[in-house]
Amino acid sequence: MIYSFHLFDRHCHCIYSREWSHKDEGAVNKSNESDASKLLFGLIYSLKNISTKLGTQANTTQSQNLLKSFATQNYRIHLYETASGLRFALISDVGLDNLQAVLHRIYTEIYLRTVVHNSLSPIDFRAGEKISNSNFILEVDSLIQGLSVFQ
Amino acid sequence: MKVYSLYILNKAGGLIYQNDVNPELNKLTANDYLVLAGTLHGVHAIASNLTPNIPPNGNAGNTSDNVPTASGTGGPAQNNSTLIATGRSQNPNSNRTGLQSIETDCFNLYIFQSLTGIKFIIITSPNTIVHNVQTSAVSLDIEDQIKNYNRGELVKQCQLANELFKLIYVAYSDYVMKNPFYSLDMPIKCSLFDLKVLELVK
Repeated sequence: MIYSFHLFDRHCHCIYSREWSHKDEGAVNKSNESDASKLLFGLIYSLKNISTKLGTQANTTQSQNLLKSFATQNYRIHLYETASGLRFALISDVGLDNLQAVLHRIYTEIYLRTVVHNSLSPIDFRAGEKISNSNFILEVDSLIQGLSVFQ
Repeated sequence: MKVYSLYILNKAGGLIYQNDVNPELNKLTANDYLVLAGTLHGVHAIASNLTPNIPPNGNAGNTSDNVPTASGTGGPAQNNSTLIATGRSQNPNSNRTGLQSIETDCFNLYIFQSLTGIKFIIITSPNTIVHNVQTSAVSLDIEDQIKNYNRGELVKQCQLANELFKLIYVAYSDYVMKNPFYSLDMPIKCSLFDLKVLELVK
C-alpha cells in the first residue's frame, strides 16, 4: 500500500506533497510546510550523510553510496535523488522492497515534461512556492494509483 | 547476510561498544563514530513521529505490539490501561515504532532497541536481490520491475537481523550485565563478550 509522496527541491523546500487516504481524495500540497515534512527532510538528510560517510569508497570508481530506503515497523520510505538535488520520497508499507523505478519514472517522464519543460513554471522554486501544475498532479496520481501495489 | 559491524548505544545515545567484525566499510575517526551514534539515536526517535495514519484494515503486522502508546504518546491513564490489559509494563524508553532498517547501495543497517533503551545496531551486506535494481532500465515494464523487486525480501532480512539481535542481547545480558566490574552506560570492555559476538556473527 502506498501512503504518500513528497518532493523536495535543492533548497530543502517541500515543493510537492500528496497524501492518499484510500477512502477519499486525500490531500494535495496540504502538508508542505508541516512539521512532518520538515522532519522527513531532516531524516533523509541525516541518513544520507551517514550512508555517504560509511559507504563511499575513495579508491573505487563508484561515485557515491546512495540511500535507497529506510523503514520502521509501520512504514518504509523509498528515496530517489537526482543530480540536480531534487529528492523524491515515497512512503509505503514495509512489505514493498524497492520503488525507485517508480520515482525514476516520475522524474523522467512527468517532472521533466510538465515542470522543467514548462516555461510557465519557475526554474527555481522560492520558499513557499509549490507545484500546482494540474498536469503534474494528475499524471503522478494516475501513475501511482495505477500500480498494482497501490492498494 | 554478512555482518560488517556491531555498535551498542546507551540510552543517551552514546557509543559504548564498537566491533568491526568484517571491516569492509570506510574507517571513520573516533569522533565521527560518536556523531554517527548520536545521529542514529535522534533519527530513530524522529522516525516514530512520522507514522502515517494507517487504515484499520491495513496489514500492519502483529497488532498488539503496534499500539502507539509504546512511543510514549499516550498519557499515564493510557499506560495504566495497557498495563492492566496486557500485564506488561510499558517503559517509555522502549520505542518500538522507531527506525528499524536502512538500505543503501553498499550496506544495510538494522537497529534494535531493548526495553531499557539500549540500542543495538548492526551493519550488514546489502540484499542481493533488491540491490541490483537498475532504475534506468527502460526496457522493462514498470509493473514487471515492481513484481521483480518487491517480493518481501527486505522484511525477511529484517527478521533475520532480529533473530541475531536476540542472540546478541542474550550475550550482552550474560557477559556484560553480569560482569561485576561493568558500570552501567559506560564503554564495554569485556573480552568474553567480544568473543561471543565474534562467534555469533561469523
